[in-house]
Order: sequence, then C-alpha cells, then structure tokens
Amino acid sequence: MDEPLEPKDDELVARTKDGDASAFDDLVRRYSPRVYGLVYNMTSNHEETNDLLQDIFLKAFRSIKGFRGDSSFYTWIHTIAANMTINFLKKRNRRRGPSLDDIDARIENDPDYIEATAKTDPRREATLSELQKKLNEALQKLSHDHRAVVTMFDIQGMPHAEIAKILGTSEGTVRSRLFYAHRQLQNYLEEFRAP
Amino acid sequence: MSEELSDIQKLIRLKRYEQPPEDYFDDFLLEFQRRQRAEMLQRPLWQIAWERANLWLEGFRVPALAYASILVAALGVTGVIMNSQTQGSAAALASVAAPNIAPAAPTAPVATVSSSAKLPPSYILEKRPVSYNAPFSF
Repeated sequence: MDEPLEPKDDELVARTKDGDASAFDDLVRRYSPRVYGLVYNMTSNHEETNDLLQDIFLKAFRSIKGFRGDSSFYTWIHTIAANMTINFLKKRNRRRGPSLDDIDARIENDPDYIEATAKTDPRREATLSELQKKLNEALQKLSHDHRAVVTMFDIQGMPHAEIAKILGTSEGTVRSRLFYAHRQLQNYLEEFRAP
Repeated sequence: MSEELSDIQKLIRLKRYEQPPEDYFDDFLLEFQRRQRAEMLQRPLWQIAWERANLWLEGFRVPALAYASILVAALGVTGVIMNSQTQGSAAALASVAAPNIAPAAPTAPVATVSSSAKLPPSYILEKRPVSYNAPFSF
C-alpha cells in the first residue's frame, strides 16, 4: 500500500498564509534539523542555537505573507537563518564557551574519521572528543561569513549556487571564501592531516 | 593542493555527526507552538490592520514606491476631511452662539406675524361688529 504523499512546501506555505498554523508546524518539522545544523555549526553552542532557532521560525511565520515564492521555501528559511545568525554573532559581546552536541556513535565507522585519527601522531592517539574540540576551535577562528560558507558547503553539502542565493552574493564570492577558509583551516588542523 | 583541501573538507564534514538529543526536535516544535500561539493572541490591533491593508494592496500588485504615494494621498484626504470638519464645527458653534450675542428682542404680542405665518390664515374680528355701531352720530 502506497504511503500518502507529503504535501509540497508551496502547498504548506499557501495553507499557512490562509491561517492554517498546523501547516507551518509541518514546515518546522521538515526544516528544523537542517536549519539547526546551520546555526549550531556557526555558534558552536546548543543553547544559543535553540534560542535562535525559535526566533528564526517565529520570524518566518510572521513574514510568510510577504513570501512570494520567488525562491524556494528552503532557500528563504536558510536566508533568514543565515542573516539572523550572522547578526547575532556580530552583536554577541562576549563569547560564551562552547556547548557541543554529542557525537553520533556512527562516526567511528566513517572512513574519513578512521583516516583522520590514523594520521595523528601514533604515540598520542587522538580521542573523539579531542577531534571534536579541535574542529570547533578551528571553525570559530574563521570570520562569520567564511564560517557560514564552510558550514553550508562542507558540512551540509549545499551546492555553490544555492549558497550564493542564500547569502545574496555571487558564486565566485562563495568559491573564493571557501578557498580562503580552507587555507586557514589547514593550519589549525595540521596535526590531523597526512604527514 | 587540492588533495590537502580535500583532507580538510573530509575532516570538517565529520561535524555532521554532532547531533542534538534524540527527542530535541519534538520538544522544539512544542515550544515553538507555545510561543507562536501566545504571540498570535498578543498582537496589537494596529498590526493586524496594517497586515490586512498590505494583503489587500498585494492583490493589486502595487509596486513598492506606490505605497508611499498611497500613504501621502491618504494623509492628504485625512487632512482635507479634518479641515472641513473643523470649519463646519466652527460655523455650527457660531450659529449656536449668535442668539446669545444679539440684543434681546422685545416680547411680541400673542398674535405675531411670525407665529401666524406658520398657521392657516385666520381673521381677527373686532371686539364689536361693525354693524352694531351707529353709522352716524349727530
């Protein structure tokens, strides 16, 4: 028996505009994990991410009547998230310490993880938490704009064109920011790279 | 160089394994619904009116700059209405105040022109019929 088809984003948006708040709940359910990933990897703090995520979806709900559908809902909600997170980071006076999420145990089977830990000094085996700490420190050293691009491209796997639309910039700018960010990260993560 | 970059990308990609607790997104939605419903109940009237006006204008596909001219026109019309109301009320005030300012008129007899004008024509008889008087007196 076929599963009932999930309503498309456009349909959910139209229903929300007509006053059906439960349709927006479906959009929140659908996009909160991805938007969480963007905000969390930019702030490296779970509590701040949670607060921002609430504000982002509330803002989207308030402004949805102005959403004309020129871009996809996916792009639109990511644009709101990226702008609000970058503004939040600019205004944040004193950086709170990181509050990192747990790492999924499946990482231990990931070939990239195995390769990365194997490349470290054999006399001092890198632990999982050490790798996590290093990765977060390295990301936090990037500027907000560079971190946004690295998060969307490297962690979330978005194409350059989509990132350019979300950030309201050109694909060329996205590529150059990525190039610069990767060069910076090389220095911070030297010990995990091949000798 | 590209191999080095690829190493970095592989490392950074491992961050996708950092995940919030399993039931986090269910709790998140519940909290969102609570805040969303609370906000919907607390919206000021002007905000609802503004939103509806915007929606109504959207139906006409009005260009962005037209909003400014509509606002100016609306302000102009409001100004004209308020001005005419002010003048009207001034005139009304003047007409109400006029009898108080004018000198008091002498009290009119019972049968006056003004009061009789409103009534059907009536004929006032002399106190004594003419035929009862002597036509001539010598």
